[in-house]
Amino acid sequence: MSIPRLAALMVFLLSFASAASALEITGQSRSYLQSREEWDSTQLLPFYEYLNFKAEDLGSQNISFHFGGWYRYDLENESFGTKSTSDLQYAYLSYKPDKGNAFLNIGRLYVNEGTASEIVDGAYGRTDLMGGLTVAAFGGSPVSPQGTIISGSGGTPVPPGSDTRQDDTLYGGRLSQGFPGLYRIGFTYLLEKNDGTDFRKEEGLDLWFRPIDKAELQGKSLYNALTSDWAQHNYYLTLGPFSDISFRTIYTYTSYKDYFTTATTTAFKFDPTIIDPNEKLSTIGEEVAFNIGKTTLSADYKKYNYDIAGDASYYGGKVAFAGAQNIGAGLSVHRMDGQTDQLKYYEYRLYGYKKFDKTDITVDLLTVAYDEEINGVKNAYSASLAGGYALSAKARLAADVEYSKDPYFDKDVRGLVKLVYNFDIEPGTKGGNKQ
Amino acid sequence: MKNVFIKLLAQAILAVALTAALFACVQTASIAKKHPMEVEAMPICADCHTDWRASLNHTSDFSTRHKFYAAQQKQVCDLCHAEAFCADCHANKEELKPSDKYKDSPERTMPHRGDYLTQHRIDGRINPASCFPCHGRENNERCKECHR
Repeated sequence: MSIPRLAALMVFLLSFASAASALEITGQSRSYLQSREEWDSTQLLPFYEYLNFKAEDLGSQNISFHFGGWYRYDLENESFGTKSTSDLQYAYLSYKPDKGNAFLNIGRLYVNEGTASEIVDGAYGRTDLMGGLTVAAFGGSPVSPQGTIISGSGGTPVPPGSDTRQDDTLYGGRLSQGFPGLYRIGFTYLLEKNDGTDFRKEEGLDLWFRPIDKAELQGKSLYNALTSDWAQHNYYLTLGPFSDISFRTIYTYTSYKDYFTTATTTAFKFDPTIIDPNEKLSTIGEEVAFNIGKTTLSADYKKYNYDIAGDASYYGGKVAFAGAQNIGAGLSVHRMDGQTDQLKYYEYRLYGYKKFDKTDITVDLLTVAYDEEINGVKNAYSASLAGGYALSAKARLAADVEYSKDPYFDKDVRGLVKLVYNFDIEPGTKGGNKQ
Repeated sequence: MKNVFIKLLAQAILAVALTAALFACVQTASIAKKHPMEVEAMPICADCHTDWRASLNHTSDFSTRHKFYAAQQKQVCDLCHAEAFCADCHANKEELKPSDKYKDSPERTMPHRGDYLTQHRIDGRINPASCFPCHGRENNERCKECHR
């Protein structure tokens, strides 16, 4: 069943069901009409409809239904080789008891548990237990129709085009323990089976630690149990603010042969002459931010240390102003300093926005200056102008135009018109739309 | 084979029973389903909260660290955000860039602004792990145009 039909059916059934309960439906419809050009000057005019809603109090205050999806139809030519396409992002029934932060979701759903971040057709449940313990479990089939697997268990190469994740089974869980306001530490397990063999077998550790108000440590570590080695560490330390100055430190480590083992795009099948598949990368970065009223000044630096390739660094600064009266502006300058001239660029951005009574206007300018020419061009420019008008408290019409000039397009003009409508219906209690 | 199945089934029943028993002893109330007050975009939680919730301030670095909160306590995110808010970027399949959908929100950190087609060749070589969470196993439609 297509997304629009499924959405219409769901709305109808939920509205019908509302006669017997205090059903409340809240959601948003977003319609986009985009005008853009392909590399070969083919003009495209895709129309997108994004719909999401949440239906609560389905017979009980503890039961709700959640839906999100989009549909695209090309009014001129074909985007991505098809005249129309759609995606069911999520559609699940949720049961949430009043205690223990417990829930049980069934359907197409997102799983966010420690190091597991998945979209599955299946079930996902969680509850607090005694002693600060929390337990979660999930299982189902991964939603990933695109692309064939390029490497098998533990990174073993498989013939191209031979397999997808379509009928895989994925399950796992997380056990965590914490003390409110001080710390939480969790352990995640995930197993994905492809044709009966282990495709992904991951274990993970997640941490949140806030010993004092002005210090917070967060992080995750991912262990690949098929290659028997750490795949990634990712930690973030926030200190401050001390007299409006904050310090943010980030550390990451990635072992390529342990992390990129289960891709479905050849982008991550590394050519050893460009990226060594055995590379190990660790990064350490620091950002210092200083607040002066509504203005934030920040400077950041990140160092990339490779085991095999030469080192790189990324650094720069930013000034951002966010006024109380719906006005804001920002300016940033950054430098990517890779090992070779091919991997070096300067990046500049300037933006500003102002919201009036019902209208708003936004300007955004970006420039990237490459050290080495790409297709005979060293500079890329992009400028966009956007404007919006509030038709009512629930509806907003907006449009933008973007002009760019870069190594791939001599002149590219894109346009987009969007209509956003927020709805909030309580047919069971109020008999219609609520303002 | 039959013995293995029975053993797994027994373990599963035991785990569910143990969880149910422990859950029955839990007396803590669940977190609210909605934030009691409507908040502005990019809220500074410390304006009202003085405890750990102040750390949820949506400062300029929040886009970098939001994944840690979502990994541990997504129900806190759900107080203000619908699932669709996450799905705008974290998609199984997506054709419109988030930055194209929100040209009128320049203050938000959005991936792939401007000419990212050229820039991704450099950023992808510098740190391919930054691409992988969104494009490694899903959302590859645009990647496939070149990376076949």
